[in-house]
Amino acid sequence: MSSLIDYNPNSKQIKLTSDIKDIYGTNTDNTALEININQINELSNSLIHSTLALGKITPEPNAKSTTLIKGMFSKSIEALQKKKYEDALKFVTLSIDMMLKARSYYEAFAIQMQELQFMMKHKVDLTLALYSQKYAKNNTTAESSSTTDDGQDMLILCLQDLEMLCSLGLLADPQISLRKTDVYMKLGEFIKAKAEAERGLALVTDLLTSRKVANPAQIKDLSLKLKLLFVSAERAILKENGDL
Amino acid sequence: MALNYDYDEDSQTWPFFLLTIALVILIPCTLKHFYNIFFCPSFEQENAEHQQAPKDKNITVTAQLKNKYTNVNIKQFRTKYYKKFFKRSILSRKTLIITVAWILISILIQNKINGNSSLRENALNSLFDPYELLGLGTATDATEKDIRSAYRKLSVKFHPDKLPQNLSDEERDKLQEKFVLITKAYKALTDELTRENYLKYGHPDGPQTTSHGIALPKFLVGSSIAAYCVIAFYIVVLGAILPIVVNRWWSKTKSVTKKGIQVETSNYFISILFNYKPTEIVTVETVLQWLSNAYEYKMWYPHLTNEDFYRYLKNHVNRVNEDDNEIKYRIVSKTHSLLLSLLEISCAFRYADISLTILETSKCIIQATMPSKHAQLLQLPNVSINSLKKANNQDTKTLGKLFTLTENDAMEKLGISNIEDLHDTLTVASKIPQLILLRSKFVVSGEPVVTPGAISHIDLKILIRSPKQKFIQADKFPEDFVNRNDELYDDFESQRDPFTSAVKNQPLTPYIYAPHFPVEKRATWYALVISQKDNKIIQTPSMVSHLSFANLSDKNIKLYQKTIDNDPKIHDFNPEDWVVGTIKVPFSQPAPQEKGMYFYRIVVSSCDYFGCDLDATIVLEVKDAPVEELKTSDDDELEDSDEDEESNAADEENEDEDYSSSEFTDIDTDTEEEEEEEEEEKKNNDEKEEKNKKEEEKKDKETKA
Repeated sequence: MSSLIDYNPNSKQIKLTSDIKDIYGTNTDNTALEININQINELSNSLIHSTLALGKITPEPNAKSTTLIKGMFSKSIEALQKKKYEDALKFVTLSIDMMLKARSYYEAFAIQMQELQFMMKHKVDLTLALYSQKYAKNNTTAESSSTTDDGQDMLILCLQDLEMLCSLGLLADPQISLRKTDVYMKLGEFIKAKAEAERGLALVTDLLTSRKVANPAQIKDLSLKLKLLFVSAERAILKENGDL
Repeated sequence: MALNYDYDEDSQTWPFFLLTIALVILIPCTLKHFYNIFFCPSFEQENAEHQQAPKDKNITVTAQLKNKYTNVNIKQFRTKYYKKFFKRSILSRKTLIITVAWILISILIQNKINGNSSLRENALNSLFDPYELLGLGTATDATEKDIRSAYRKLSVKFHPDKLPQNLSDEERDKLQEKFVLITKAYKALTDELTRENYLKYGHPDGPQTTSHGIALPKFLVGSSIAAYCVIAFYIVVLGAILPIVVNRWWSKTKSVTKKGIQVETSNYFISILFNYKPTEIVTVETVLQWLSNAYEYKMWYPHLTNEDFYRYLKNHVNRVNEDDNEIKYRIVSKTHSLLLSLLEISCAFRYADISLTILETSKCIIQATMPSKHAQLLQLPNVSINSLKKANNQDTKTLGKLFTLTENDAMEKLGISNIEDLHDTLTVASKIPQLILLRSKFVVSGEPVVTPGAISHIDLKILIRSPKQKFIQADKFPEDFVNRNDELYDDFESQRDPFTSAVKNQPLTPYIYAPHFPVEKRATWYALVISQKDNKIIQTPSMVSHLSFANLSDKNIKLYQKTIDNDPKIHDFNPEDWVVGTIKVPFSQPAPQEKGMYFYRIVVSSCDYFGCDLDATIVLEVKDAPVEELKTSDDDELEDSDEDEESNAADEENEDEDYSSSEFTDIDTDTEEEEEEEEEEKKNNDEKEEKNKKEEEKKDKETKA
């Protein structure tokens, strides 16, 4: 049986697909249902096309859940300070999960997004730290990729998180590029690593020339790291192709 | 205008009518047909050209190997489907039809037009030549005196009063008519008004009557049955055939896009990309899925479903043999144009990742292999997934690496047991073109710098090298050497259109080695330009199909081949051994209005081979055009800095060179200090500019004073 109501994810509208009489018998009527559906469509339509700033129509994030999430996150930081990477990763993953569950979708998304960005960045860093603690010791060179499936999975998860961060509004963040390059290098995808490092360098140069940076020293540090990764990616490509 | 229409009673007009229509159709047809026969290369010639081109030996070797490793089924398919496009010979049906048509036309001319005496008489009668009538012959320079005397003489002879009495009425009328004509002729040469009429309309009486008629021979309208036939003919032509033809032509043009794919397919691609959500990840499989929904396939094989088409594509990529290979080959051969359209659409939607995946899919289909770490090796003959699995090859993934191994090692890594097979494999591998970027810059035609708002294009200097050859650092090529071909692009015509001149000055790429792909194809690259800021494509892809493969000649490969045991004896590098290729990519946007540096990523991706792509970041530096006066002072500074190497006086031109030549290649030497230095330099430059401006202002004031 086909569903009674069809939802169009692009227009965010719902539509009655089949006659209610076919399902519930002849003595029922479509009219009331149609009116309701029209109401809902009208409401979502006006919400989508609303010219008001989103912050004005959506409530502030719930303070109670904020403290819960913050508590979990600070646990992760504590664990990190004790160098318990695995615990730290567990707590940060939990706090992200908690955020997804405890936060209502009607709450201001701009605030939620910042929170999520911050935690995701932390998670990525932790995963990478954990990865190097676990696997990099076995490999003599930093460029060679891990052969264990576990390690690969970790890196791919990391990459997914980074992609997600990119789509969360951090499209032009050299920090993300740096981490992506690192992951690609560890995965042995040197060509992609090189391209990403180049992008990161371009973004860094952009930041430096615009002179709107809060602390240029940090950016310069970042650019240095990116350059290092770029050079090693270039060398790895040449090496892989037997040119070195 | 006459109200009653005359029919063509004496067959005077309809032959002309028929002749005109016939010639309008026949002349272009004939010209095109014979042009095709004599000037376009035939299938055999094309085949011969790339199979045994005597000039280019290195192409022959690959062609022979390709011939050797191409499946018999594919060869059959090629001859079946692609020969008919080239089938041109003098002894064809088309030639026969054209010849018969010309014979019919010549009969028409001879019998109806040339042989019609009444026609000729009429034509002669309607001519009016006053000089001839006055007996002055062709003496168009006769004076008024001559004309008058000639007229007097003739009027004495032909005046109605002076005519002999014994003439019959008929003769009298004729002579009287003659006199009238003579008078007219005299007037036409002397009287202002009549003369004007004669010059304007060719007759002293002014415009002659024109008769309108229907160009149908009398026998067609004479009898009532024939008349009905004519009416029926008109009804059939105007009421049925014409609408049908127009309708078919229109629906055909309407249903196919500019790129030659069905509009429905194109709409499908657009809707997919329009509704694309960033959370979805597009892989080669996804693109194959999209392709299998193409309307073309449904048109060809209405009894098959999308799943079937997907299976065929998947089987092709996995090199699984099919019972019915012909369907598979037809489906696969169409993917090329489908992918191209899909690429253009995804570029229009600015998706960088999807566009790169589409190009990867193209490689996968042409080389019949799924993307994997060993994709580069799988495009070689005698190498398959199974052989690589058996060999347990983990570290050798690239073509270049193969040539650093000994023959035994290579055999082991590739899982090849026969030394001759290995030689074939390595020969193919050595002929696969890899690109090295030598220089890249944004060029504004006829300008030294890119000014705000200028229309520019990207100029890439690349080196094609074999995987067997050593890697060559871009800075080993001197600047003059790389740019020496720029003279070819210096003339006005090239500056106006740099892209066609890049095509004109370089040969077409040779055919690729792709024994699994059912269509013969030339090596092609697509250049995508991606903005680094938002990681999105900024323009439609531009195709690169003209590049010289001279660097892949056996001689050149030998000179620069990789050494297996780190042999220190290296051939001295000589740039003259190499041919530098030029790729011109149009830059669709005008340069930004604000001065500064803008970063773009350019990906020159092959749609045929794995491991032949070029991926680099290029810098667009927008700055003001140098003022003429300043230029001289700049030159002085240049000289100074040449003399004093340690001086940090870097002027604008020097800086430009730095960025264009090696914006990232010399990164390892770039330290923080240097950056600071650069910044200082910039500050210095700014100060200098300010000073210069002040000086200018002063000069201006002086001149005003």
